[in-house]
Amino acid sequence: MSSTEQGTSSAAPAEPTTAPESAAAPEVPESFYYVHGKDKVVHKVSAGALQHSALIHGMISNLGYTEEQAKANPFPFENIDGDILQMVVDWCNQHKGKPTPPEDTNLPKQKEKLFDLVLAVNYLEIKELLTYCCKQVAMMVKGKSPEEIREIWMIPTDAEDEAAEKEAKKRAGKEAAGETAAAAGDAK
Amino acid sequence: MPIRIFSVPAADFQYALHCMDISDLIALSLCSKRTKNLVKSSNRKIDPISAQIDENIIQLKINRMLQFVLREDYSSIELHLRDGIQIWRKPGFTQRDFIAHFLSISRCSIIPELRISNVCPIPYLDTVKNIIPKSDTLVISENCSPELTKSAVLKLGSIARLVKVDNNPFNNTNHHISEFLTLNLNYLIFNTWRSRFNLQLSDLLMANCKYLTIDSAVITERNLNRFLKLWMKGNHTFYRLKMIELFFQWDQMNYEDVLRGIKFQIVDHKRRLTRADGKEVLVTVGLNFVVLEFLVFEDLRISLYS
Repeated sequence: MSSTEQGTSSAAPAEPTTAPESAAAPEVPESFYYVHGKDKVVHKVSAGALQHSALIHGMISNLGYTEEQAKANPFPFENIDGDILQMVVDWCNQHKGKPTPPEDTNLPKQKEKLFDLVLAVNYLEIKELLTYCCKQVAMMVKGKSPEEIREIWMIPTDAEDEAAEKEAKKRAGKEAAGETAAAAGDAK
Repeated sequence: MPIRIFSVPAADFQYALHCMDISDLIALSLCSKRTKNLVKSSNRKIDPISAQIDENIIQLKINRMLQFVLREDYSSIELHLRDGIQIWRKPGFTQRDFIAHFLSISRCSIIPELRISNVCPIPYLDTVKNIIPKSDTLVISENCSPELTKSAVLKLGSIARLVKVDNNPFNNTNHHISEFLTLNLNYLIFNTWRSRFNLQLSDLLMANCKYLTIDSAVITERNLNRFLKLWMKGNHTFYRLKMIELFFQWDQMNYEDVLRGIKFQIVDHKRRLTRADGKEVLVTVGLNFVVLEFLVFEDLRISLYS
């Protein structure tokens, strides 16, 4: 795997910090995990940041990886574009250990990426980010007419819906006929 | 940059619907049958529309901030918001279709209120009747002319459960209150204290609406007494009136005169009159009001068992 390691130095330290001697309780060194998307670029993310994702959190809990093992086996998310995964990782780092405010202004406002972001966030089960994304989706059509909404959200007309339904029925009929023929062939 | 909204996971789409303004939801519902069903199946509550007829325009109000006007080109509506007007087009939609659409997305079968204002041309009432299928309350505004009031009650009274007349169309005109009382309406209210509604005995005898309320009524105790006596002697198997409420602004009622010569029992501060066939009327007489409640057999049974 040709991986380019991208640290998230702004939000998480690259190296585990050592606990100050004067501290009453020793600080547990932060563990890091690695994820990559469709572009195979590996992102290093702290366990604290990854806690936002119920999916990844579940995987970590179940696997019980050491940091070495985690580095050797980055979590693959082949269905998520690299830049989208980068956005998600950045968001997780920015909100590490903090509750998400109702109006989150830290997320990039690129509407062209919003749809892919919703799908990725839904897949990764990041509830707070998903809520924010859905709000953004709703804001896309604020104050728009039905015609504009149809364009923005690519809503098919009734005629298009009916044609698609007919097509689906036709296809289902053909598939059913094919299965019946195959079953009859098997019986012979 | 457009996005394919139907590719968004259903739960997320529902959440997006949850975040939308009501006007945006209505706009979405007008995009296609599918979006209409999605809006209907979401748990967002869209308040029902009330209609107001002003000149030859039908205004639809959801709340003070959200109002629509059905345009005469029949396939578009104007959305009136605080900061301006938008025109929404829906090719192939008639004015009736728009009303049906609004009723459907608010999960209502009838329009709560249909209000006729003073400047509605009388012939336009026929168009209104064709467009608006049913209304709970028909309100004829205070400043409607007697002719418009009469035409509105005659033409639209049948589509409403309750007809509320906020003016007196019988002052200085050839019309008489009996014209309204005999229209077989369900609930008729004359709701103004500005002028008197003169009632004769014959008006009460002819009345065939189920419920009648008149503010500022004028009737003598003697006429009320004769009405009750005639009702006691009567044996109508079918009697539509269920309640008459008369309020008096200028006169005070004497209950002894109203009930003179009539046998009654006192039940819960009401006088109960029972006639030979077992039907009953409860009479409540106050200084400035009289209420007559006609009890049919089912009502008696309910009161017996309750």
